[in-house]
Amino acid sequence: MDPYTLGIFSIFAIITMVFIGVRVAFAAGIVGVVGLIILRGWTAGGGMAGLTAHSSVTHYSLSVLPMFILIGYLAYYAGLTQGAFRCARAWFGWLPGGLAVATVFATAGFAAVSGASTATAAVFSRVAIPEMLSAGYDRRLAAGVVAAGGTLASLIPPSAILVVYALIVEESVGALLMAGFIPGAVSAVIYAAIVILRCKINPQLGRAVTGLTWAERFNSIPGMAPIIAVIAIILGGIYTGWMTPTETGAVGAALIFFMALGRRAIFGEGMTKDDFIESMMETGKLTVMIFTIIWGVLIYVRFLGFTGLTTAFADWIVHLPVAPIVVLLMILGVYIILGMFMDGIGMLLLTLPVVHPAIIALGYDPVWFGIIVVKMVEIGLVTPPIGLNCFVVNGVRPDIPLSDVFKGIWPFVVADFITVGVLIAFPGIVLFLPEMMINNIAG
Amino acid sequence: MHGAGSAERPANAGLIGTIDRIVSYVENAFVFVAAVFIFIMMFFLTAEVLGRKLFNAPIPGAIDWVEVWMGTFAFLGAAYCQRLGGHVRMDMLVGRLRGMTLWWSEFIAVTIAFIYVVIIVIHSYGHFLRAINFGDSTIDIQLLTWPSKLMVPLAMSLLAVRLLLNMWGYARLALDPSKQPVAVPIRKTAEDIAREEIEQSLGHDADTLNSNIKR
Repeated sequence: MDPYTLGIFSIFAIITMVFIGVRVAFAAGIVGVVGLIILRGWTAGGGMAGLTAHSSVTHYSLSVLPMFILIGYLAYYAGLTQGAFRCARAWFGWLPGGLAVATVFATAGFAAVSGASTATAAVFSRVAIPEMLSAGYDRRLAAGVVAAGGTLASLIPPSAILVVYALIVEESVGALLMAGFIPGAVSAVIYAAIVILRCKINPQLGRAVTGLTWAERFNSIPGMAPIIAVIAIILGGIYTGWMTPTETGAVGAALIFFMALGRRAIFGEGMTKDDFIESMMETGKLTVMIFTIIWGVLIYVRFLGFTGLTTAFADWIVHLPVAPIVVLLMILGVYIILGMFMDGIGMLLLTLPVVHPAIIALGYDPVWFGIIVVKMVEIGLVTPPIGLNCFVVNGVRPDIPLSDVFKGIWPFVVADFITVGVLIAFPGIVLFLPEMMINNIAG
Repeated sequence: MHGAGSAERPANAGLIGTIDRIVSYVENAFVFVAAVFIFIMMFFLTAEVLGRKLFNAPIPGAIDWVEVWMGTFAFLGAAYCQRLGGHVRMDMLVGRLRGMTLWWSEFIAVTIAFIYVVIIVIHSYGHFLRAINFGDSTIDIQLLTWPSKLMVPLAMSLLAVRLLLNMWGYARLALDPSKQPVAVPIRKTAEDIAREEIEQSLGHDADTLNSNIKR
């Protein structure tokens, strides 16, 4: 069998295995290993796989992942959520649907200390939904805004999924993290606009909070201080080039860890010893999950490189008799469908080895494409049948039926499509910060 | 709580149950070591940044240390993660299967994984041997790399044992679906995953909430 045919065959082999339930890391890995052995023999081919396992993931740039994951697990215990919500409520509460608008901005703020969408949704289901419901807000709106707000965590740094993307496509981790910030903020503003518009048309959905004073507003700012500190460390550290992304993650995690310890010592609330050990074990588990899939896929990528299939596929895509934008939209369509059935990181790793060279060949910027793809993954997180964020909201608030959560999410899914449209039309929104950063560091 | 996702071990699980319990201890120990290194790395890098920025005294070879430590958390937890069904997969088709068909397809899936992991054990061990024989070291401060490279065959051997246990567990169920699942990850629905996520993000506060979720 010539390498090219072998390459095509390998894609079908992976798809079949993933369908019958082989875990993505192992499906990609075994196809890669067997392919390498067929092409290069047992010693050289297998040796290459054995070497890739270690050398491909013990890279300094990957060490940022456990740090960001740790920040996410510790963030809740540091008591940052209430502070964020109180502050957002004081400043945005006067708007139509004020509490829901405040929820959007508070989740965006919390996203800056947590890279996990589901965690953000869980935390705000507890903090924001009770207050919205007692103020007579429509429960679909209340549930929807929390599930959607949670997804902001994937774009706003620290974001584990953007790091994984950067590593697979060999782009700068820092550039991807910077690139996510403004689109994350734009998404939040569009969510807020949708809430305001709906509540303006139908005030029954959610009313403005009245009687907010300026004193209250300024008093709420210290509650936001820890979050602002973490944003400053991560974005500031990366932007100025003073710290590597891993270092910003380590300093951010240490800061949050000491805040959680302090909160326990002074107020006697928050993290217990068991909570801490559990957070560490979970960090270990999620870290190894991501690493296993990365090196499994990279073994496959090694093999794929030998087959010449990726360049052939990219060539084919470029010579399709349609505009690049059509191809792009088709690829995004496939991601939406995949996102309905698969975890975001697994889906990205599985598809990027083939999709990424094609996107480059079409002339799109890989950093920009990363943001668009992550936005697609986020849409998968809130749409049926998996829509994990919706399940999380329903889990914390069983009194709000799942069907209501899914109904509540639709306006925000529409908002997401608008955001994606805006980002496609104006790529500068995504690329502005990373380009400025690169000029800043280089200059 | 660490058992979430893995089958509950019934009291009369027999030999497979006993082995499962012993292997689980080793897996917990491995992931604990990984977690300790993550924690050490957090302090180490914070100290490095403070030293470098405040006192102009960076820790020599910080990158080398981190890369050597990465061998622990990149690999050691792999078997633990497999026990809890943590590695990513697509449930679309498997989720619809029942009884014998389900257990046979699960058996095939873990057998494929087992073959892969065994090949990796063999070749990563070779990679480790070469590092020892040539005295391979890191670029900056010449730390020996073999301990880090040893993590791959070590962790993958444990994963192979876990997968073997999975194969045994699934074959046992495929032959007699009326038996209670032992030593196999239980397939999780979106509700189950949501419950775990809540538990992890809200910690002990979630205990009261979790009783509310429909099984």
